[in-house]
Amino acid sequence: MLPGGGNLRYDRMPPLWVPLRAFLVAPFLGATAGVVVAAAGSRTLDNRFTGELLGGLHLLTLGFLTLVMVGAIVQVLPVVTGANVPYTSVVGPTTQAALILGVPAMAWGLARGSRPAAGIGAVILGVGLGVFTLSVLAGAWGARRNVTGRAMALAVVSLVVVAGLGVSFLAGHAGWGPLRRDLTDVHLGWALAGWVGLLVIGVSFQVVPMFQVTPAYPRWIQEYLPPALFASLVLWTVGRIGDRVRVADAGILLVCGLLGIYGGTTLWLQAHRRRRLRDVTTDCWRLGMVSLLAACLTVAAGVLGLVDLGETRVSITLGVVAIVGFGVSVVTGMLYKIVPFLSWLHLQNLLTENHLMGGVKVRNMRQLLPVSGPRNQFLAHLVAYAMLLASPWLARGPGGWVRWAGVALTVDLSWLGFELLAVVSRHTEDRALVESHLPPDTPTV
Amino acid sequence: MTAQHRECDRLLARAEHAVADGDWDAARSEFEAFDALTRRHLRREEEILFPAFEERTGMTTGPTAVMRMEHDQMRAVLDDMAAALASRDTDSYLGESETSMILTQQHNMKEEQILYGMSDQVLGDVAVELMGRMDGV
Repeated sequence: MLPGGGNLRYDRMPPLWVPLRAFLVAPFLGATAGVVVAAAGSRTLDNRFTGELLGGLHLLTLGFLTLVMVGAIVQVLPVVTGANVPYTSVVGPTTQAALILGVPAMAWGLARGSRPAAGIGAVILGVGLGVFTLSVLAGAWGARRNVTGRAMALAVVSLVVVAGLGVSFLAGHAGWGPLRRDLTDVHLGWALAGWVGLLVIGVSFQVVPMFQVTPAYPRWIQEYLPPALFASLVLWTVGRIGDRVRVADAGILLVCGLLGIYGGTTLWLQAHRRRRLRDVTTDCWRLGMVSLLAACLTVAAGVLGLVDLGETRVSITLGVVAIVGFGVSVVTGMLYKIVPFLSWLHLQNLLTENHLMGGVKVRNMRQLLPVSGPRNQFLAHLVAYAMLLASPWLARGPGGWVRWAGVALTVDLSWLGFELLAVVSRHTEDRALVESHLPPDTPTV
Repeated sequence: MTAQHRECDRLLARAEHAVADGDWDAARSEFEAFDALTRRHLRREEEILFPAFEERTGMTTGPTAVMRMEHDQMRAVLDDMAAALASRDTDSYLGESETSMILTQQHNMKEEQILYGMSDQVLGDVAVELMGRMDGV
């Protein structure tokens, strides 16, 4: 599906394992967030800044969400927008390796209070994300007239803000400078609404109509919503840093309103999809959009003084809604389409290149990923989400609720990982079948 | 051309619903309409649009080569869908239909966002004539 250059040539298509490596590792890296929570139990949720919470949170946001999103950008940007991302074949694996090595180091540093580990994590992540953002921004500049390219570029600029602040926090944890906790909310806002939000929005303009067969997003949303969201984040940040409460409130209310419009529109499009068979990706995206709306309403209620967002339980619940309910659900739904499709497509290309089309029968997408596994995994995801939502409120109760919520999250994401591994295993069987029909010494990619 | 893509999506979804409901007679007529329209659309591109594009740009191994390869893959999936329909195998049909849907959607995305845009630029002066010839296919 996704060749590496702007010229749509199959000979530029990266080997299957390049994108798959990130997609297969990410769920298991995310699952370790559950292990951290399960090991530490209720003390994880004593306040917003416990080491275990910060470590687990980043295993989920960087280890799972960002690892998948970085892979998706490098793969999708050239095809969707025609942009040529410089040095794709080096940048993709370098960024993946930096995340796979840097995130556990960082999580260890935060969860165990290890200064050297935090420092190593800061350096690896700083270099890896720096290389990624430079290369993708150079590519996205060429695609600025495409709505998805523009939203992706704004998402990557947001990542620069998030990563810059994040690395400076890690440096603070490593004892190399001051720890600016007053900027935590700025980091969080740009991470969730900017990096994750803008990227999901930009990608969804393509993949919601494509994978879920819905009408297209209205043109005005595609054109104006991403830059308006970015501008609102800037307004909020200027207000926050300059201590101008009204400016900050106006900015964050605009952010909530725009994300709410996006979430509501997506739900409306899904209600009007032309293909009405039940589909786990659509279920995942519905859950994601409902969670996004809930998060926006909660933040708006906080700004209007109806909810105390500074209260520990409220703020952690809000984080669960935004990260597990929105981010994890949406990315899970995407992986369930992308991994079987890439596997299928590589087999088809092997057949086509060797003139075996119609001669050797390989599995179709449902045979590569039978529907029952993902449906049951989605139930496990619902259980984990519900348990994590309740955790801040039941942390003081008996029964070790928080530990079990951590176990549920581990089950949720490990199960996703095993479903994807099973796809690759079936793909490998079919590939061996195809190769058995090739003349000896035929080169295969 | 983009409108034809949407019409194919609609027919594919209708055939899929009929199969899921076990209404094989309706499934057959919906599938036949989908199959005929899809194959005709592919021929229009391969016989009229792509040669004109290749002649004007000199690019014979670029985007159109990829599109032709994907057309072959789409026709192979259409054959598999027809076989599943003939043997009234619901699981197999829905699997092939899902495969066809995603293959077609990502293919359409490339055409609509890259190839059609490039064609509008390089073939704008002969667009009316080409559209007339494609209608005849």
